[in-house]
Amino acid sequence: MSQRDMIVVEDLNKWYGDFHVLRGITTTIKEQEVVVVIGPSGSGKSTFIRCINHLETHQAGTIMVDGVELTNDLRNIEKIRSETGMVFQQFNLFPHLTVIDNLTLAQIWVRKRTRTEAEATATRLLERVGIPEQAEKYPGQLSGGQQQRVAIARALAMDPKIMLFDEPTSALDPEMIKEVLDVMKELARSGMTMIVVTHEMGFAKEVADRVMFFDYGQIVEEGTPEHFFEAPEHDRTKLFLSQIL
Amino acid sequence: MLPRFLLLALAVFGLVASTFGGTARGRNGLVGAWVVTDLLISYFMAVAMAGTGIPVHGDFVGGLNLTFLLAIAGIALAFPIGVTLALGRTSKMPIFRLLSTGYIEIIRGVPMITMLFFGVLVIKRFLPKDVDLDNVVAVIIAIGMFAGAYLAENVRGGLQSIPNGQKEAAQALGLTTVQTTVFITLPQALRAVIPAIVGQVITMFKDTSLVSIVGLSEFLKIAQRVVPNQTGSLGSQQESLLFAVAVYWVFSFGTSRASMRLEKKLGVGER
Repeated sequence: MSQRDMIVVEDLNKWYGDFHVLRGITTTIKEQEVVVVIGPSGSGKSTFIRCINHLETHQAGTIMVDGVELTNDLRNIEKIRSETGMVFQQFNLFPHLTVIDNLTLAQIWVRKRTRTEAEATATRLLERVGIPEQAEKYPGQLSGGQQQRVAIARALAMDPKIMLFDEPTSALDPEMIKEVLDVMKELARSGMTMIVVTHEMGFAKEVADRVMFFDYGQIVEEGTPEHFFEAPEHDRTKLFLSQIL
Repeated sequence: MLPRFLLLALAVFGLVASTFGGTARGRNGLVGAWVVTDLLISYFMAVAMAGTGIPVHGDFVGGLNLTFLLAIAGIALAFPIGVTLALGRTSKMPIFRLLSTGYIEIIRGVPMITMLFFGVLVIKRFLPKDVDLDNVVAVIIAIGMFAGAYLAENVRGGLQSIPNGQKEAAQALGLTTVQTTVFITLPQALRAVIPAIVGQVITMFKDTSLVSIVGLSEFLKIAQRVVPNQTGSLGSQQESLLFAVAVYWVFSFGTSRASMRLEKKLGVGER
């Protein structure tokens, strides 16, 4: 892995009122790297990735995404958002639009593609996530797993350089988790830069290049999955792993 | 007396029947036919009046025609006002929020009759001297301003019912704030409040009967005025008022049915 730096985060700090959510996060994520973020709830891991596309504002520190610094300048924010795909825990598909319209809307209005181009991309991506036959349905008519795959396709339709996953399988029934993870694994192998917040340790072991453990708004420990799962250094990490494995 | 009641019942049935069944196309055709017939009759009556030498003024528009005109033009005006105010009131910018909230609270604190007098007496003061504002237009503006404030609160309720995740998803895709509102939050919000909006349309339709206070002869006023010409049978206010009740009911009920079909078609509550 000797690719260029995709995301550079330096001394990132964020407060919710008096509550210090992120305490000096510093890390660099390279192109094509797959980073899995784990940690107990309330540890700031979701807030961290939401800062990267500015769904949350940070109060101190810098975030550079593909060479563009994230400030309050709207043009920078929109630029970064259009390069960054995000998949949410609750899917957040647009319930009043069909699956195909969910995929084409932003392509047409943000990427300025024609409807024909956008629909071609959408169809190709629906095939990639394995549900081309659902294009004309509404999100409410699909299962959770299918909805999440549509959400992944919707993010990919923008040709993002980075994909952010915020607990993508946490709202799914157990039998649907696999179909979503399979899509994510395929994506990781295709060379996408990914940050994944998840509790799926199997996924972390299999595809992560690096695992990051968050607690109390800090990166307590990070390293390769082998290091992380077999020889963790910190007591806090050991305790967490013993509770979930 | 009985035959006239039966005739009334039959007429009512004829009016309502279409709202119960038939194809969507057929129903739309019927509505179209109603409007066209209505306009034709008004036109020929005006022509007939012209022959008699009796001057026909704009403010002579009356009866059911006027009721419809006020209701339709009123809601057409109230809608953009209401949506704008709702967006203003939920805006992040304090100045919009303040202006919208101020407007809504002031208008809602005033009886509709006051608004009608405001329309007829006050709006003209703001216009240049040589502009002659027709009373009907003035009343439409007043109704639109009034209904807009209430509509705004309904739409705001809809906007607040949209989960924050929708906005976040749209923003994460790079849509601008305006695009997010136009394509994502507003359509969902309006859909969620169709029942409330229809309720308001029905209320407004019936509230148009208040315009007789500022001297316009809408449907109910005409229903009262024709009484002296009647002889025999009930021959009194009861009969014409009963008829008015029936007509108001038919249109209110028809609107309500149309809304039910609309809700079904748009899949309200489907998530």
